[in-house]
Amino acid sequence: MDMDLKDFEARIARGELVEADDFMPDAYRRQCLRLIVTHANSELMGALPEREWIPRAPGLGRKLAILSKVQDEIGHAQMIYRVAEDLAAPFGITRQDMLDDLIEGRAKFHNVFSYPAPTWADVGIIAWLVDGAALETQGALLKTSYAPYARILRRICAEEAVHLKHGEDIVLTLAAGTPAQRAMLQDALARWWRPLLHFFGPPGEGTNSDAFRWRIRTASNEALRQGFLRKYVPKIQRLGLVIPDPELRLDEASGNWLYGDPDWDEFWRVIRGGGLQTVERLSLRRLSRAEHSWVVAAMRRDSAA
Amino acid sequence: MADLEVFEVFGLTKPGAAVCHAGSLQAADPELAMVLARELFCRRSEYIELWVVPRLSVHVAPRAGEVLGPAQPRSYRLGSGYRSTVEKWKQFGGEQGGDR
Repeated sequence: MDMDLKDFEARIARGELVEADDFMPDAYRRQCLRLIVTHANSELMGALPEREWIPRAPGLGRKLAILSKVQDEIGHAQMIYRVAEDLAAPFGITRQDMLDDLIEGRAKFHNVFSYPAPTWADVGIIAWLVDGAALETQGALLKTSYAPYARILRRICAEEAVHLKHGEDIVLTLAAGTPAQRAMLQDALARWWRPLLHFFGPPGEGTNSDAFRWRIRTASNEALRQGFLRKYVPKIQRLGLVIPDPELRLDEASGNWLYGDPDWDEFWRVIRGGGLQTVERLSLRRLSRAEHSWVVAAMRRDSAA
Repeated sequence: MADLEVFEVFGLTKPGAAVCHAGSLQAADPELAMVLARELFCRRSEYIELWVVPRLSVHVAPRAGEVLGPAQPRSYRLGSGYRSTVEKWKQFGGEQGGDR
């Protein structure tokens, strides 16, 4: 076993990729699985607030665009659960178990999907900045050592990049609109700024952990957050919007953005299921699972359907 | 409830292209696998033709180095194994080697 672990780590150190049928230590399998299931859950949960906006989107073009975004996110969830299933098989865990864990509140998903999206501007901010943040994280994961995940991420990232343009278009339209539209956009940004900083997780987490040694992850939380800030802060400022953080400033020496304490206690509260809409969203997920059970039955060719 | 089976999905991106792997999915049978494959992999008309293959029908050889990798150099199977022709041509006059 120790020899196997040594060989495995030597493979990783040589930059080799791990395929589903390759030997891998249980701890590697478990860490990959946790990361990948959290991602799958987030795709599924992320579609819920957007689905609520399909009938309310302004105009047929916007309705079609957000409908197709929801379809993409559910498609991503399907592909990612599929990768997770192969990883989980040796543990005797199935997709059904993963879906059960999610609605029973036993599984994690991204913090941002526990917040309400009360206006159309929230939809724009989510598609532009939440998808932008997700693209930052997923772009870094393209270099993960677990090859089946990296393969589907290439496809997912390409589609997320379209979502980002769609969000950018909504935001630009509102920013160039009436004073009421600009005010709505400013309010939405104020609501989302802190959850966006939280999205990447707390800083200072050690990059010498197993996840980094085994190249499951390759970029630290703070590096990802800085990548996001470098890209989007100048764009937000160019639109004349106010970022609700008086301490936010660029440190010329390091090229990093310094930001005020975003209240990490809130992050932990949300992650552990205490978000503003965690319970509501999970019950929405439970409802949609029950309402769509006939589709699942039909896809299984269940004769009782 | 019928047990779901894993299908591997392959596709052609344009006429004459080589078939390449698109991903995998779970389905009850090939017909429904095709329905789901179109849903998952063709939302942007990425493929002009799709294949779905039960995973159990895909037989995979061990990775390179064990069987697929060359036991000894096999440069004689590749065009790049004959670069010396450039030099050899020079013996027959002219600055330029080869047939370019």
